[in-house]
Amino acid sequence: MLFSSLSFLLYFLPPVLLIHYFLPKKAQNIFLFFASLLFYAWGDAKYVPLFFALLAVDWLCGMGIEKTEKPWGRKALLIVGVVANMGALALYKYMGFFSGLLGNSQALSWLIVDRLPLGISFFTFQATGYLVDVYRKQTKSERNLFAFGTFIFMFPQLIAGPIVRYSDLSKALHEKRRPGARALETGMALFVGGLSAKVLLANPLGALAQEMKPLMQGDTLAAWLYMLSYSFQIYFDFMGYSVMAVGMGRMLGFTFPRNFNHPYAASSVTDFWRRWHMTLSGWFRDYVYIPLGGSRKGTARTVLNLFIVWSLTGFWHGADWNFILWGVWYFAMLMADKYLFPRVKGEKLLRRAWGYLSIGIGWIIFSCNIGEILPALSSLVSFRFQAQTLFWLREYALVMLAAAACCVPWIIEKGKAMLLRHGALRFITVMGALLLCLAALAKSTYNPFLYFHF
Amino acid sequence: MIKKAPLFWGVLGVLLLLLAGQGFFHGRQFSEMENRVLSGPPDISLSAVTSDRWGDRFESFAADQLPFRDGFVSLYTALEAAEGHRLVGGVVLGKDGRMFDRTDAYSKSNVLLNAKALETISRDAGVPVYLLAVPTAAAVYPEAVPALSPVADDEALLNAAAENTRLVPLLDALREAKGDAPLFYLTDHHWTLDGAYVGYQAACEALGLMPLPLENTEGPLPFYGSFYSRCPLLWQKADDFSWMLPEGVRLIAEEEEKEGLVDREGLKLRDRYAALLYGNHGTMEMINDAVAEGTLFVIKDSYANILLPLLARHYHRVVAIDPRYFSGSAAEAVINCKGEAILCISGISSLASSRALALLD
Repeated sequence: MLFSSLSFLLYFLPPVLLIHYFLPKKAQNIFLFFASLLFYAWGDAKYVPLFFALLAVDWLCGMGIEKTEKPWGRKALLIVGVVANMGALALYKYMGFFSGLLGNSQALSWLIVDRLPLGISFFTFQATGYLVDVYRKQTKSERNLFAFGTFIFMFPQLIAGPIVRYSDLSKALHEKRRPGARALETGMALFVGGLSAKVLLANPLGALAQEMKPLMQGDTLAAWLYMLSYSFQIYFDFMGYSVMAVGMGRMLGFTFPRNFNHPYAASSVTDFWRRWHMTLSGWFRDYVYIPLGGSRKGTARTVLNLFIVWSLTGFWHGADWNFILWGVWYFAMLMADKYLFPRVKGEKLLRRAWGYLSIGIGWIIFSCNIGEILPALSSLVSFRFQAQTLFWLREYALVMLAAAACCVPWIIEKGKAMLLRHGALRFITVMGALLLCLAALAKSTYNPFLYFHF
Repeated sequence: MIKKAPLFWGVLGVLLLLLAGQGFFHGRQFSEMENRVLSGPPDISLSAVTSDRWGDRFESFAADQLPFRDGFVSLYTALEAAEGHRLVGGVVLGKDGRMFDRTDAYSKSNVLLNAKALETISRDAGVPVYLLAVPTAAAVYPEAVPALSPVADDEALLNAAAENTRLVPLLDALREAKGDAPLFYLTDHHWTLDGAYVGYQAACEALGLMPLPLENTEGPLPFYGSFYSRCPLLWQKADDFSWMLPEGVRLIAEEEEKEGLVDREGLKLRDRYAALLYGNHGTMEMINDAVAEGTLFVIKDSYANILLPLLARHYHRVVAIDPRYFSGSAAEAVINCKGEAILCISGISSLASSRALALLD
């Protein structure tokens, strides 16, 4: 189930919010656990056993690590837990890729699934982070199965994050959650705001990207339009989901960390990654980069560590070569940003411009097959134009302007402040946005069957 | 509490009202606007719920049975137009309320293959074939099409057809006939009775007939066609829908004699064009007892439905097949009915976007 589906908006969210709100403390985690299980099973019930298996392993390993005093025993349990999570991820997400490397070996083909278990990239990372935190004694383990299950599989952050640390939620998991009026108001405004970003901006811009993709080979304007529209699409799509998750968290009495902080206002490519998918960057920093030695072991080792982290970051985003290349691309751009630009005059402006170009080129690498990348990049500078592409520029000019405006922190913060001050304006804006989102969802499934077309 | 958190309860209230509305009114089975059967509640047995696509089926149900669905669709269509879109639901919004089809995916190779197939049928049946290819409204009213719109070059497609078969000249005649009366509907891809009359005159010239004037016309009725159903703009004006019923002509469709040439019940529905000749059939026949002899064999799509009653006045029999629904040998059908000529009446749309003619036996 997706947040931007009518099944979720009508059948799931309202009853869950209402029932959770009025339940006594003891029943809230149990209810939220089973609601999340329903959410998970709705998409693909066949993965419910995986849900329970990982839950059991992570829960038992967490408690075991805490109780065991012998270092080797603690380490062994940590390894069991991490291997279970990463094994599940490798099996379901990467088996097709590995099988391809082995020439589509028949031995592996039966393991390849056609549809990924919902949110597997997120909950396996969250559970791994939890186990490492317990191992490092940075947090206590969770003994209550329902509270633990709620932490790992809670539906708002199950499918697209944010990746939450146990210490961020442990307090809320053990107290009566009865969010006040302000939390409910803010939560609902965030939810509708995120839904609007997804449905009213990401989806139309995705349609433009889809139109431009076949045209961009040999048309510079189409290539630039593709790069721009896809950059906007992926931001509003992902940010929309994250903001919806944060909003739902608020309405359920949780405070999730922020996942995006105006990334397209970044002053450099380094700054971009401080603002984009912040919880994933934090995860890789805490659980991969620092254990590898971080920047404490000299320049060469730092560079190697960064290379490993960025290759893995790319691979996490998808099981294909273009995603690995995307990660390596960012490694290279970040290295240039770190070591090259400080020696150049006019560094500030150059870093910003280079940052934007790196991000845009990065999205082309991210969204194209490995064979499509070079032709697409060369189209950006081929200076060949097809007049017809101007139609699409004009067609989406207003939507792109609106999207660009929504990337400017000043505009967003002013808008937020204004809505916070004026209750009536807030009510009208959010209700209006909700109606437009419902209209967009109705239209997206509106499918005239034109057998009489000819 | 409601006073303190009006937004929370307001949004929740709207969603719960829609949910309740769906609970009470989920019995809508057919969408006339979309011309399709809507999804009903999905099966909730254990085996169904645990199947792979149950979530998708549930979403289809939730979306299809959304209360005020058509209103929501109109609202979003209005927003798209307000955002400056000239292409909404695959429909190009032109000047003066005129809508056009997006046709940039039309293929010249399809036209060549279809035209070649006509020549093969003609050769096998031993009678001449004429292609009356109906251009798109965009080719007839180019001044109303927004600049650089994704529409095909009809002239190039028609030239391709002329390479392989005898093409009846029509595009220039339609352009010259443009006046106050529209030749194509504003909201539908088909031509109007006036447009079809220009086509009728062109066909008469090719077949060596003397054109007769329009007579016994009926209508007009307000009409919102297929473009409108894809792009239901709140401020779109309706078309006038008229048709002609020649006296004494009978219709036999799929071996069943119909009551007249037009489906009176169908005329009450939104898609009035589908009422002409009771829609599309694999085989049909029009018999005019006022004319003693002569059989015209027609290979057609729906563009012919408004034109054939005009032609039926010249022949004892007009035998027609629709290649999309006809199975069998077209040449044999021509020989069996003793057709003296073959006239293919087809929109350039079907000639360029499908290979239905080429796939005829």
